Amino acid sequence: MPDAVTLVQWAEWFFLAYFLCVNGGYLLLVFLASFRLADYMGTVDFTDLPHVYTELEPPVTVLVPAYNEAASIVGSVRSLLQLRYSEFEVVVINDGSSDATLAELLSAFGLQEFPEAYRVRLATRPVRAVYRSTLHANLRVIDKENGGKADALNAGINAARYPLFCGVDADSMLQPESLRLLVQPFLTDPRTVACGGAVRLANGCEVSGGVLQQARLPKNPLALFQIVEYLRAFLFGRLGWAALNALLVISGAFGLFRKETVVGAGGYRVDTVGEDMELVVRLHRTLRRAKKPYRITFLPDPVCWTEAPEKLSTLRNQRVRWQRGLGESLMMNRALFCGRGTGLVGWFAFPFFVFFEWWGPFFEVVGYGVTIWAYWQGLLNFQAMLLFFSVAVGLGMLLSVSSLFLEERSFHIYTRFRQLLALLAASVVENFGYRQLITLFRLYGLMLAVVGVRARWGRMERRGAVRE
Amino acid sequence: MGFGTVSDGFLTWVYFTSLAIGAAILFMMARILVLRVYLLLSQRRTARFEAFWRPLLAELAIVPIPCKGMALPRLHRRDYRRFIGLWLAMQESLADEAHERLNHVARRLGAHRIAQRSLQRKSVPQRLAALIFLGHLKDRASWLTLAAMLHDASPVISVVAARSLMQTNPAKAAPLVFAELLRREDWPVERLGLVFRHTLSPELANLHLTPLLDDCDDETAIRLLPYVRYLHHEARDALLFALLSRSRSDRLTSRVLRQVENSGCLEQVRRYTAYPRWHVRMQAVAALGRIGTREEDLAILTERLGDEQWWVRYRAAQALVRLLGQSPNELRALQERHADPYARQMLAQVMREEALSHA
Repeated sequence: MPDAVTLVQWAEWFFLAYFLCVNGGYLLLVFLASFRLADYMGTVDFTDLPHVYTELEPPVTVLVPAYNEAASIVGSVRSLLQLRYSEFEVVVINDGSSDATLAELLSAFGLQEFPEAYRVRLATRPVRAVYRSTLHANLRVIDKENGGKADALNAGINAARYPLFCGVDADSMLQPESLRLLVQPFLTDPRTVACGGAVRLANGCEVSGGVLQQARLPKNPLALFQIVEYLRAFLFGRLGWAALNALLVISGAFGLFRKETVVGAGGYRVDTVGEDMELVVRLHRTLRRAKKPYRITFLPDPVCWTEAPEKLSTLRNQRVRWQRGLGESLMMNRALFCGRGTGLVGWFAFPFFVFFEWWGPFFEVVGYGVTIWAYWQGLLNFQAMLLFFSVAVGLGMLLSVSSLFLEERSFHIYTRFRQLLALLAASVVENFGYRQLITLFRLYGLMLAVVGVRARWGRMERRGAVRE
Repeated sequence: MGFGTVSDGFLTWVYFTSLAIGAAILFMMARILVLRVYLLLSQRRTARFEAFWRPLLAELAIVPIPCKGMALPRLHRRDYRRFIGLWLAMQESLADEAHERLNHVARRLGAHRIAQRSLQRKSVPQRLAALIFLGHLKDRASWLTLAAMLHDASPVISVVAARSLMQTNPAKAAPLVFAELLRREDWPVERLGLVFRHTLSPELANLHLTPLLDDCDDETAIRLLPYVRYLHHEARDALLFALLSRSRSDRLTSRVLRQVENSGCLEQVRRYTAYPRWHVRMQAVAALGRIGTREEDLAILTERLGDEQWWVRYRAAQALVRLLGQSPNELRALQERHADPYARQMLAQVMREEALSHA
């Protein structure tokens, strides 16, 4: 039986290798993303000149599930109706709101009850009524019994008239060109079945008429750290996965899908809080099983803006829900794990998500814990402990700074020099406390799932972190 | 406390790894700061450049004075990309005479020579900018290079090359572009639509597109069909009739039906309203709404109103409203008479849509 010192050594080797693998994996993704980004930036200004339409573009249905959004729904819908695209419709699904969401919509858009021949292709909670706007021919509202976001989206898909649908959150702020940009992958590659849009954080930004005017940084440090986090994990990480056609997540805040493909896969599942990720993973599974050529891709252009939580409790609830959604999505599609014919999705992306995203918080916390315990027990000297932490933290910092580098090479949306310095500082500081806190939240989410506590959506507090 | 000899080696390895990571972080940060400084300097230069050149180009574009004797400021080579960006933005929003004046200015400044050299560069953005620039310029001297770039492996470069060729000499370019269109499968229809929008006249389309469609298989016909819209009506109708008659592919049939607007195809369209594949029935029913007659097609559309497929019912209802739109009482009577509740519901929806569109 090896002695305690040897066991600690093995443990340290294991955790060091773990940190190297997870951060090395992300660095690889950032590396892949850099090529995709270079291609994209090189052609985006020219591929659709002139900016006119030929009526050959595929029409799009924009689905907006709404639950208790009375304060903001009218503004959100108005800004969606201003999207610059040749043909699109907006379908708002009022998911049994208990506030004045429906009343606000009825009043603002001259809605009248409409004898819709509603087609049930995906089972949902009952639809009470369908309304059509007398002011905007391309706006309809579905009023239904509460069933959750996935159920609302399925009801929207049932009512969608067009071959592509775009799911947006009620609080998402899109740019006028967002649809035009997001549809491009469908035009250039007919195998495309889904495309995710980059979601950026609007905290601290200037907004007018529902459109972002000027990107600014928030004063709230939590929001600032999340901006760096979004660049690292939700932007360039996803672009890297898209380069491998192994993207497992498209944000529910903004994603474009081929309707018939989603209906064929069964629509959104209502028994998970991670319905957005679960759908994408299922698309991979069903399309690979059917041996159909397909692409699921990602658009790096900053086309969708949303508000990040600035309170610790709200952030905790969000991350706990995300972690649970992640686990549910993976478990519900576990047949993808190293399955036959699953390619990079099943043999690289899926295992990566299982070991480094889903169970990652467990290994990270245990790794830190074992190191500290070993030092406390005298099995590890201070110098060794410091070195281990410096590698673990340093790798995370390198990843954040690399993402900032890609941002600077591409969109550099934060134009002021001091904003750049603030982001650089945040990319260092976030590794001393913030990331570890997020890891703890995620671990909590993982533990709740393991012991079988039911997941809930919880409530996102809108603090008006965006300046109108 | 501490490790033995093996651990010292281990710690050394960890020490150098952390040093390498630290060095990489500092290097990245330095690069970010350098990029930002470079960006700021570049933005200032661009702002100064545009403050001088934008009003000048705007005036040269709209003022109908001869430019021949007029001395133009010198364009530095380092400002070429800025000039191209500004010039292209203005060109894309101007037309006719303003186009020609800007072209003249660009030639006087020698920008076309720099663009011609840029076509040979490896950088994709530079090649694209040069392609678009030379297309607006209708630069015949670059013809051979543009024609070669038509076959580029990148669909982005080849489509933009196609556009430039069509702008330069549509008659000469059309056969090349159509040949390339047939050869490759990665050209988006929407992008080609933009290419042909202002450059493919009905006469040219008739000359090059019609022979291709007269003698091709169904898959090729499907790919060429979107461009039939550029033909004269008579030629288009004759072609659609011929394609409908000889089509063996359901996909081609439904796409042709979608474009039918002439009653010459009426008998064929009527037959397709009972076709086994629903999307063919749907397009046939929609076509009947455009070219059908009240007297003969009311019964067909009423029957299709009770089709098992939602989209067929929807198009049948729209076709009925189109045919009977002037007789709302007759529509209501038809709705009440129909035995199928889904049919009644669909007609109610479409009648309401029609009422709202006229409100």
